[in-house]
Formats: sequence, structure tokens, C-alpha cells
Amino acid sequence: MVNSLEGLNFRALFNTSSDALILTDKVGRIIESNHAVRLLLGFSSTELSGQMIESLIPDYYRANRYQDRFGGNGNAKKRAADLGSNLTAPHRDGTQRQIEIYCSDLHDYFLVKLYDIGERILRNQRVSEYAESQRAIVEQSVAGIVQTDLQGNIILTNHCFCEITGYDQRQLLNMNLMALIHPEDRRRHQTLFARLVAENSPFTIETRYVKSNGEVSWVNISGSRINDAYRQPSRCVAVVIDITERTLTALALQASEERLRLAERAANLGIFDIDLTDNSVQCNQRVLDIWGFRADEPLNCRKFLAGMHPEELPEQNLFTPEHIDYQKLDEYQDEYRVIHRQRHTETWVSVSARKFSDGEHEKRVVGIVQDISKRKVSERDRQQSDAAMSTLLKHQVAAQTATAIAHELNQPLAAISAYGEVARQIVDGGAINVEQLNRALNGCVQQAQRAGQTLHKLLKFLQISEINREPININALIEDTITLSRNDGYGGFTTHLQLLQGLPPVYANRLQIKMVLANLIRNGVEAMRGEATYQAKPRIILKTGIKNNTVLVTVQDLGPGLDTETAKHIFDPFFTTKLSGLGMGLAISRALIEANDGLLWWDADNPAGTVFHFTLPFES
Amino acid sequence: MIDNDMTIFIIDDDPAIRDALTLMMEQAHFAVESYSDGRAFLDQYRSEMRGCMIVDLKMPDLNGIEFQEELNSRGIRMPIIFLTGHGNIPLSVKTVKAGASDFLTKPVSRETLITSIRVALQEYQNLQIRMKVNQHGRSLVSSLTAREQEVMHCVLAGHSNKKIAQQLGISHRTVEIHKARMMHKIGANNLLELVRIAQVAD
Repeated sequence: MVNSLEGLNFRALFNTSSDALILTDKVGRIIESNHAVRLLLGFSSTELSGQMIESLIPDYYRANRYQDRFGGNGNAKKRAADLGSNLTAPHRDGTQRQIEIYCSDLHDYFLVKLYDIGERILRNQRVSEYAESQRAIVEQSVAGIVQTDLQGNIILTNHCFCEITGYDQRQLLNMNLMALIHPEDRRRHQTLFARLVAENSPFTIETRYVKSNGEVSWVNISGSRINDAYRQPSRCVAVVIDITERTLTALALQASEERLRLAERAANLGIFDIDLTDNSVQCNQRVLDIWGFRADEPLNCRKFLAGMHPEELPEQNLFTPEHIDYQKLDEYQDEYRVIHRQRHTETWVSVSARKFSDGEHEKRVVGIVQDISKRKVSERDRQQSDAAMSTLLKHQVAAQTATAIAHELNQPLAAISAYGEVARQIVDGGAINVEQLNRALNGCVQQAQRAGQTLHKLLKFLQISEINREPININALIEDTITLSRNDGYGGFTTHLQLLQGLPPVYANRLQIKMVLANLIRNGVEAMRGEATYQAKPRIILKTGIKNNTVLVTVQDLGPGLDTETAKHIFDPFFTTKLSGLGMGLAISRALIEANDGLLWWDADNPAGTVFHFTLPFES
Repeated sequence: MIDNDMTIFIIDDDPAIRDALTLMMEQAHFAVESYSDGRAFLDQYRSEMRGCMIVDLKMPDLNGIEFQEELNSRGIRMPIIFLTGHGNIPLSVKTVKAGASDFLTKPVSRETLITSIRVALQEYQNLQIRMKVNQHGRSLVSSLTAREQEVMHCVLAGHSNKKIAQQLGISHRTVEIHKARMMHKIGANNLLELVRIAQVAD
């Protein structure tokens, strides 16, 4: 072996080379291999010597006749890899190594150089796989990707970008990116693109594209610049995402939120949401403010109902949360007063709610609450002025009537007075003129008769003497009258009814009894209003019962009551304790009850408030 | 003293009132005429009628106030006593301002009514006397010649004969003649009487 190598220099070179070197003779028998071969293939020089080179790299030598290769036809220097061959050499451990060989003709020997290309191939493979996957990613990306030159001419696009723009690849490759952008957005885009090219400052904007079909789509564009190997700007890449749907949704959402906010603010709307499965309530600040709840306290229906004004609840104590069966109502609308829990102020609210189901069961009630106090106050003012107007009108009518009555009665009275004085004068004078006296006395009698007739005509006209009587359910009449009185404009009141059930019908004039009841209720309410401790909602107690085979109706207020001096005169015509009143109410009431064969009286023995009783006969 | 040619005119649409008041007036020795409404009175009005009127304020057709206006416009100066069913201060003020003598509420007592009538008639009589005097004075003044009237005005202004002669451009003697004739026609014996008559005639 030493002999086969010329000189020490070559041997040293051969042994220490980092390249794997194998020395063969002209027929390819291995003479010697160096240390690098051992590192590459695991075989030592001793193990390899004497073997044919083909045993190491069979594919290559099988395909290329050794003689052809090394037979001096000049191809020897050609690298196998250049021929596209993928050579493998067996390692000692049985695995294959990817190699490349290079042969040098040393006259008597061939020097075969083995390059380990395994790593490089792997790397190449990785690179190409990477590039491939990149391409795939780019191509399959749900984002549009577009590459342009520094002027914005498109040089590469992916599928998604085509979809976003509506153009195909071929069309796009002939276009400038700017042509895609909505005319209104171009200026801004141009500025950003110029800055990207000049200063390499990437940008992300949301802008509009005009698609091939003319539609406008919203896109998010992220642009960046790519430098070439010499770090000179070469092209630009943009990632484009279609955000039309998102943008439109967002815009719509924004608009509807804005609208709701505006509406909420404008109408001062409270919004609540009741979960029917556990009766818990979610609501906004406005609702909390009205009811006076804290923002952090857990809320339920019962708490809300507890905030309702007690007078809003019907008299019968049936009104418990369980009775508000929201589930029976598709839509619920009501107006009532709410008492603020801390401040104890009242707010009129209008509530409208609607139930929502999950398909099978009603699960939620969602509704709005509106503060309508202002409207209520103006309504009340109007009602009061209406009431004042009607009182004025009644006074006017009463005054007119009284004037008419006065004139009709005054004429005969004036005549009687004159005749009477004439008669007295005759008697006083001593010398009696019989003819004159006769005339005077006749005049007196006739005029007195005339006055009486006038009264009868008047009463007939007012139809007080003749009344239309019918069997009446007095309890129902009382309830009717309460309803009537509530709408009469002199303010709200509550009633406490103790009506004896199963009473036989009374025989009376419905309208007149109604008038009497309404008058007594009104007196009671006004008495309690006038009291020092002003009661906003006076309570009137109404009872029915039986007394001496007649029905006994009792109307009681809890006002200051009557002193005995006042009580003496309450039934006198034109007696009144009110600032504005004719003082006819009780007088007329008594007359009406008496006309219906009943009695009306004041109860002197009652300690609390004022009590009036009246009786009416049963139907015989 | 009330003249006995005075008549009480009762104007009321109510026959009973008319009858009773007529009886009362007759008993008080007044001459009475009654009319059912203001129109009837106006139709039968004669200029020699003297006395006072008792008028119901509230009458159909022509009411008391309208009747009063009509009388005023015709220059009928007889006093009016209004009778009304119910006293009404603004209305009474209005009628009295328009010349009503009184405003009484029915039923009215005999005493009140008769007192009121007497006051009204006395006033009416005084008025008539004044009017008669005035008319006499006016007729005296109008009987003077133009020159005599000029002289009278100068005399009333307190000028001396000499100054009057100067003012009117006539002789002192002529002034004296005019003045004497003027005093004679007026029936004034001295300057004081002349002033009194000239005043009522004015």
C-alpha cells in the first residue's frame, strides 16, 4: 500500500483529508481508503482493501460500466449527481448513505472521492418541501395574498385573492393593485404604498375594493416590502382579508346599538328581563333608579311588585306575585305608580312586556319601563280643571235656575205684598172702602194661589214628584257608583266594602240613588282632603245591611267628623262648609231618599269620621 | 207741595203687579195710568203728561234699560223708579247714571215706594219750574234787538256806559237809550236781576 502511494506528501494528504477518498486500481479494486471513509461508511481501510468499488456503490457502477466510466472516454470527471443519479453507499451498520462520487484518474490508480450529500439532500428536500408547503399555504390560504412590484403591478396572486377581487389570476397579472381599490380610498392607499416602498413601513388598513362585478367589498390589507439579496427593495406583498360581512355586521350592529342607545336616552327607557324559570330579573340602570334598587342586589319579581304603590293593588287581597301569571300573557301593558325604596317618592310608569319562549316553554319576559309622571301630572291637572269647569257650569245652571224660580215666585209675592199693604192701609184709615178692600184681598188670594201653582209647575218640570222606580241590586249599584265617582275628577280614593251578600232587590229610582251615593262619597272624600293631615287617598267605607225590613246603606269617611253645631244645619238648603259649594247636596240627597220612601240621617254616635245612613224599601 | 196734575205711570208686564200698584197709588190719591209694556206707553205718550213712572226692569220685548234710553232720546224727562226682582248693583248704578230716580227691589213696601214717588215728583216739579224760568228768560233775551243784546253782554261784563259807547262805536247817549230799553224788555229793575235772568237763559 505504501508503495502504491507516491511519496509521503500524498500519503499525508490522503490520510488527513476531510474528504472521503478511496484509491482503486484500474479495474476498480480498492487499494486503500482514508479515515474520512471510515467516518462516512464505517469501514476501515483494511476492511475495504481488495474489494471492488462496485460493492460499495453498486447502483452507480451497475448502471455505468466501470470501463465506460473510467475507460478514458472523458466522462470520468462528470459528476454522477449531475447525471441526476442518486447514489447510495452501504454503511457498515447496514444503513445507506447518500453520496456523490468524483473520480480522478491518477494514471495507475483511480482516486474516488466520496461526498456525503445526505445532509444536503435532506436540507434541499426540506427547502423544497418548505417552498412547496409555502406555496400551498399561499395558494390555499383563506387570506388573499398578492405580490406586486414596486409600482404596484401584480406579479403573483393566490386563489383567495382572486375570489376577493372576482378576477382570475391571468386578469390580475395584467393589473395594478390600485385599480382594485375603491376610488374614494385610493388616495389613502397610495400614500401608504409609497411610504412602504420608500421607507419600508408596513401598514394595515381597512379599505374597500371594487370587485369585477362592480360590487364593493371591505378588505383588511397588510402590506410589507420584500428586499432582494442585496437588501434592495424588490417587491411588495400584501395579505388581504375580506371583511365585508364582518364590517357590514359591525356597522349594522353599531347602528342598531346607537339607535337603541338614542332611543333609550330619549325615552328614558328602562329595560328589564325576567327569567321565568327562577323569577330573577335583569334590568338596566334606569329601572334600578325608578325602583331604588342597588346595582349589585339580586332582583326578583317579588321585589319589583313590592315597589308598586299599595293603592295600585286591587282592594281584595288577592294580589300576590303568584297571581301575576306572566305566562298567561303574551303581551302585558300597564300603567302604575312605583315607590322609590329609599326616597319614598312615587313615579308613574308605563310598562310593556312580552314573553319569549325557547320553542316549548315561555322562559323570559322582556319589557320596557317608561317614566310617564309628567304626562300623568298634566292629565291630573286637566282632570282637575275639567272638574272645576263642570262645577262652574253646574253653578251657572243652578244660578240660572234659581233666578228663574226667584222671578216666578217674586212676582206674586210682590203683588201680594202690595195688596196686603193696601188692605192694611184701608183698615188703618178707619173709613173702609169696601170695594177697594175686596179688590186688595182678592188680589192677595189670587197671587198666593198663583205662587203655589208656579211651584207645582216647577216641581213637575224638575220631575221630582214623579219617579220611575225599579228593583235594584243595591250592592251592584254601590260598585257602579264607585266606578263613576273615580272618573268624576275630584281625585282618587280607596274604598272598603262591607256589602251584605244576597240582599233582596230594593225598589227605588236608580239614577236618584246613584246621585245620593255619589254625593255622600264626594262629601266624604272632600272632608278628608280638607283635613290638616292631608290624605292623598282618602278611604271611604261603604256597608249594606238590613234594618227594620229595609236595606240600610252606610257611607263613612275617616275625616275630621262634624261638630254638633255644624251637624244641626247640614241638611239645610244652601248650608255649606266648602269654599265652593251650593250647599244643596245633602238637602237634595235627603229629598231624593225621602222621595224613594227612605230615610237619610247623620249618625251622631259615631266616634270616627262622618257617617251617613240611608234606608230604602225592598221590592214588595 | 206737589201739584195735583201729576200722574203715576205704571209700566209692568205682570197684570197683578199693575193692579196691586194701581190700587196702592189710587189709595194714596195719585192719578194712575198703567201700561203692560214700554211700547204701549210710548204709543200713547202726550207731551202734556206730567208725573213719574214705575217701570219693571225685566220686561219682554223692550226691557227697562232700553225703555229708559228710548225716553231719553225722545226728551221725555219724567223721573223713573225701577222695580226689579233681584237687586243688582251694577245694573242699578247704570240706570241711575242714565237718570233713574230710584231702583227698588220687589216686593217693595208701600212706604218705600210712596216716599220714592214723592221725592221723584218733587224733583220733577222743581225741574219743570227751572225749565219754565229758563224758557222765560230765553224768550226775554230773544225779544231784544241785536244791538240791545250787544249792550246787555257788555253790561253783564261790567263795562261802564262810556266804555260800551267806545267799544260799539256809538254815542254815550245811544248806549243809555239801548240799555234802558233792554232793561225794560227783560223786566229787570237793577243789574242783579238782569244777571239772574241772563244766567237761566244761558
